[in-house]
Amino acid sequence: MIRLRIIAFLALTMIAFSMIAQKVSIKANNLPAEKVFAELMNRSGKNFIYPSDLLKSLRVTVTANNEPLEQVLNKMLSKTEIGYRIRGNNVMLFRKEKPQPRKVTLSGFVREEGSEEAIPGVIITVLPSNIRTATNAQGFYSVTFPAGEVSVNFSGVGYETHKVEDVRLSASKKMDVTLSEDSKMLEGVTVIGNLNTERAINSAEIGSLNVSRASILATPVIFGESDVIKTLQLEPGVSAGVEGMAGMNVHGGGSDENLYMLDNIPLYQVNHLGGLFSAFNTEALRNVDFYKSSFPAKYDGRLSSYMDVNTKDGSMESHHGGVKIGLTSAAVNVDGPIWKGHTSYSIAARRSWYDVFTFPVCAIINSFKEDKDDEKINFGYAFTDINAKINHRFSDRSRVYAMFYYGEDYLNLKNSYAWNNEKDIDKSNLRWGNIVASAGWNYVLSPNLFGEVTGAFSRYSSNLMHSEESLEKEDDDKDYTQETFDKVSTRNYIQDWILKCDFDWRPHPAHRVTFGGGYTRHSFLPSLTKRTLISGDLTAEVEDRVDSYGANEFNLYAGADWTPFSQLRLNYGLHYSIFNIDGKTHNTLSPRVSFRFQTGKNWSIKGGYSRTVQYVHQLLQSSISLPTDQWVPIVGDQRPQIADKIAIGGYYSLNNQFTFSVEAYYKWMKNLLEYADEYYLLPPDEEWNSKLTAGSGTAKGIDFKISKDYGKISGHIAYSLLWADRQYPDKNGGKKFPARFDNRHKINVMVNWKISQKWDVSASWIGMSGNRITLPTQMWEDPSLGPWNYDMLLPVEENNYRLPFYHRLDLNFRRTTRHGYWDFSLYNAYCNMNPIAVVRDYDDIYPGSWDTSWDENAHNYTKPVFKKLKLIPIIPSVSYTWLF
Amino acid sequence: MAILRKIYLLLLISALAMSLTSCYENFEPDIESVPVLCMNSEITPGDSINVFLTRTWCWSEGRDESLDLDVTDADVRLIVNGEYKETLRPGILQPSHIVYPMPKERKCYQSQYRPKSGDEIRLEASSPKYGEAFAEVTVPYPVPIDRLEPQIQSFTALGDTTGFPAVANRCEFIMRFKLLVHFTDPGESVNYYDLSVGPTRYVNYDNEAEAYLSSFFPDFTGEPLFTEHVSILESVIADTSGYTIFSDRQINGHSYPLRISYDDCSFYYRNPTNLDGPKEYGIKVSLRHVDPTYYKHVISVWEANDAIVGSLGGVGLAPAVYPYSNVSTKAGVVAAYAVSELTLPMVDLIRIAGKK
Repeated sequence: MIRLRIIAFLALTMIAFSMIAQKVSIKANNLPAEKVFAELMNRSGKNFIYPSDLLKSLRVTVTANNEPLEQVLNKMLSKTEIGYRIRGNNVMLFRKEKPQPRKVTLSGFVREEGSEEAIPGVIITVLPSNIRTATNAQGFYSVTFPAGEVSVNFSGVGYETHKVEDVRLSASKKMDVTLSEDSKMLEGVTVIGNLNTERAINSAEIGSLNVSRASILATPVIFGESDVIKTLQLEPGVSAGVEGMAGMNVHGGGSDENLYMLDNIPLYQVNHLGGLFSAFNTEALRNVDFYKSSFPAKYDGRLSSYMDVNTKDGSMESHHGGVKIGLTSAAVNVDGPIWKGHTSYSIAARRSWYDVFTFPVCAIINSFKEDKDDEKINFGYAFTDINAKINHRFSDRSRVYAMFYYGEDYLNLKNSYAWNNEKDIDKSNLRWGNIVASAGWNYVLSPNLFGEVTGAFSRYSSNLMHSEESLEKEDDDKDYTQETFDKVSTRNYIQDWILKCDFDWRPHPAHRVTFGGGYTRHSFLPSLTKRTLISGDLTAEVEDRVDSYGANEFNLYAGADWTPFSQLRLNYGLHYSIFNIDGKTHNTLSPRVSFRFQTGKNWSIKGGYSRTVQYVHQLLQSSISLPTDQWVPIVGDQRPQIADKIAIGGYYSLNNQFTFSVEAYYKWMKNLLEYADEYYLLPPDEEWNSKLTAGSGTAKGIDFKISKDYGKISGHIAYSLLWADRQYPDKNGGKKFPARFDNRHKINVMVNWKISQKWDVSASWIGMSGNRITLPTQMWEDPSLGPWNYDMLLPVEENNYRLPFYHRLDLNFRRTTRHGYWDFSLYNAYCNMNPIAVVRDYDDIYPGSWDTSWDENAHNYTKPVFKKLKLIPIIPSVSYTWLF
Repeated sequence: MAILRKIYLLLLISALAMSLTSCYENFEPDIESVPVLCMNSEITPGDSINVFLTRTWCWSEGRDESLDLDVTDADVRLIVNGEYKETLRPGILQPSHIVYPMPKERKCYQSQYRPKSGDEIRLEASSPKYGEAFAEVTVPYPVPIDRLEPQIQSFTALGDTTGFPAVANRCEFIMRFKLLVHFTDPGESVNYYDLSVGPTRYVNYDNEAEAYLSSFFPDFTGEPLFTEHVSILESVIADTSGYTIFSDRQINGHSYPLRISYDDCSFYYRNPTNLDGPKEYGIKVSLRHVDPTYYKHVISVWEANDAIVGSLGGVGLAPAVYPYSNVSTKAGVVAAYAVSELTLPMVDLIRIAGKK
């Protein structure tokens, strides 16, 4: 049996060999392949098996004269993508798999020519494969593609595109690139937009924006004080809050629901002078990333938006600077190398100079007082910002930096009054502000892995003191002795120690992964008030203390940006946070997902969902920023505030000049914290958390925007439609009510026109439905329990009245000179004084008659009326910036 | 220098332009405004209850004498400790004392029942035109004043210096002193108080009077408890004077001296050599132990009118702040308190000053 098997095997092998060795002759000249194989089948007797579409449109040329079949097939198919395999009498044809070329990674940093500052957001395109990536905040990029001959384009808005032509890459390579300023800008072309066209069409993010320093400087604002927050107020879906203030209410959210960051470190108090100016000195910043609808996994901690201000690194090559003198403040900035090519510094300082005027004015007024004992007043207010940063580059892969920010508001009042032998001195000293210090090390761990470790400290504190001192002396004495001394001081703070690691991994051209984690140690002192009374021998001290809190917050996140195929791009991630306070631990998983589907070269649609969580919040008593507004954590039975948001959008780019976008969203929030009705009945500091009520809210709307980011004339037109409401069990009788910034319609038009190399004009027009206010109309009779009599208001539904339509035009004219530029601004150019409130007041029935305000029969001469309060008229301003 | 001159010129122009300040425009808001019942009453142990029933009115209606707010067609029911007692009868309340401006007589609803400390009072009012209203309050117990402790800081006896015949044979005393009002908080639950001081006689030039106060301005600003509701910003920019209401939050269950200062308190006394004279002339101190409604209302009135949040709310920069009301319509206050009084006779004050 075994023999039989061996014989059969040998026979079959010989038959097969004879067939393979069969020789054929054939001649064909550019004939359809199917026809040639049919002839070959006839001549060889073999069966040719292949998919029906394999040979379509393939033509072959072959000449063989009694040659082995295998040799003939090789001749026919050598220059095609078709292979063959001979099995017995069958010849199988198939499409050959392309050999996978070896992949190489190109990585490095993109920096600005001259200053050597990193440029974030530069698009790197590898041709011919058309693989794209972008630099991160530190200017790092990494892109992986098949080895071979490629061209690489580096394009950043405001810079000349840098092309690296026909480079043969057979191994991974590091390539640092410097970009020079776009020469078209020098020829009079404004580049006001940034990467937003690219971002709008190509990224998977919804409602994100990169704001350059140029666009901030080009936005006309009140007093000519360029301000990033006021620039963002012109975006659809972002409301300014109260006119002239630097608040920001995104999609109907509260002003404490925005996370403001300075080089990725939270900043808690972002206002100066009640919100008239923001804490971000434009001279110190480079650009700003802003997210309002879909959020990268990296960010969490606020419900509405995230704003990351990137400050200047400073030039590695030469010293630069500028001095700006405006009506309200002066600023100076300087940057340059400490060690050329290795270490740079950047320092910017800004200070208001109201006190420069008020001190001499008070001194003059006081000098006119004839009697040295007459009342004397001294008043001074100032705000200060200092930004400083040092960078050191150890190598192309390793860099460290240290950043410091100090911002403070300072109010000093002194009032003294003497009579007979007694003297009263009242003093107030109020200081509030932020300190932020951070240090970081970033390192290119491998060509496609970038890491950064950051340690930081951020503190907002408010220290307020008021004292009243009574002095007296005998007739013969020269000096006064203290009679009574009454002093009250209050302080509150929030303080963070932060340690975190962030990684940026680009394993594949279609896949970018960011991941990291961090720990924050929060300390809160909601309020500590001390009252001291010294009267003769009696000293009384009362400490009104609220317990301080310590909280631990841990964060872990991972997010990916994946383009499975060119039309589809996905951005997804998770942010996990743990917040531990007072023995209670809250943890929240915040999923984020968004997609972009590109229907054509210039079209894309997007959709996304994101959850955000907020553990700390600010107790706001008013629409302006007060130093007594405390940052506090969730405590007791309070739950983390959570917002879920879905958004969809459509985007179109026309000739790379115009970008059209429409974004719709729906947001629902829970555990929102707000002061309950009658919260003010509790003492100022005690049980602050018992003054709050937790509720829910929704916001829905659509944002439209048409923007032109490039050219002599650039700008945008935006429209947003919004509905926002809130509901709390202990507010408004538990009934749902519209949110204060439920601005139903909002239109923004922003135009920048570079008339010539010397002149630029910017104009912004805003029109929007008025803010909602609560307007009580009914009065009730005073029961006269207190020391004074007042009008008693009957409560009405919360936010029951909408202020009239608001509209305003702002203009800015810039004249560029050899050494700098002048800015001439007109805020509210056509002087439409918009109502910001409604007040109850009296009109004189007989105008011009005597003052009746203290007259018991005043009602005989006056009539009560409602009045719209219109606050801000046209405000011209001028500033000069000297550049060196 | 040329640039500096340009800058100064531009600064001046800008400052002038900014001097265009805010302006007002009259209008009538299109908001439905329906009047409701307002119920006011102060209830004290041992006194019959007077309920003032009025209606609310729209601000722009004005409040002159022609506007009749009294609601006279209502039924007002009194329920004490859960039991119906009576329906109050309409009446007229005469002003109890002479002050300026002269109070007018008032229409009210009066009870026969005289409440006691600890009574839980419920008042229900029903008007055919303005609907219904109710309020509840518990009558507090009096908290006694332990003692009054004057601390003399300066004392001057001027003798008969006025030259007026009507005050001949009298001596004028000018005194600066502190008055410590000692009391003991009972603890137990949260207690609220209101302190008031005044002369036993109002200022007049009665020839027959043994004594009277000529100048009498108590200064309450030295007592921290009276400003415990005041935040530091308000200490700086708001009016905090005049309020004497406080809670036992910081002194719960303890004895505590409330401090009152008198600067240049001036009074006349007929016979300074006889300090055994009548003791009814002096400074009367009243400590009201008030119910939470009373306290909340007074605090809320201060918040709404003098505090920062109220001031900002008045111009639309903060949410509206309303006076507290415990009436179901949110209009009116039904408050209760029990009073303890103690008088510091002038003769005692002179005696202490004389020793000093």
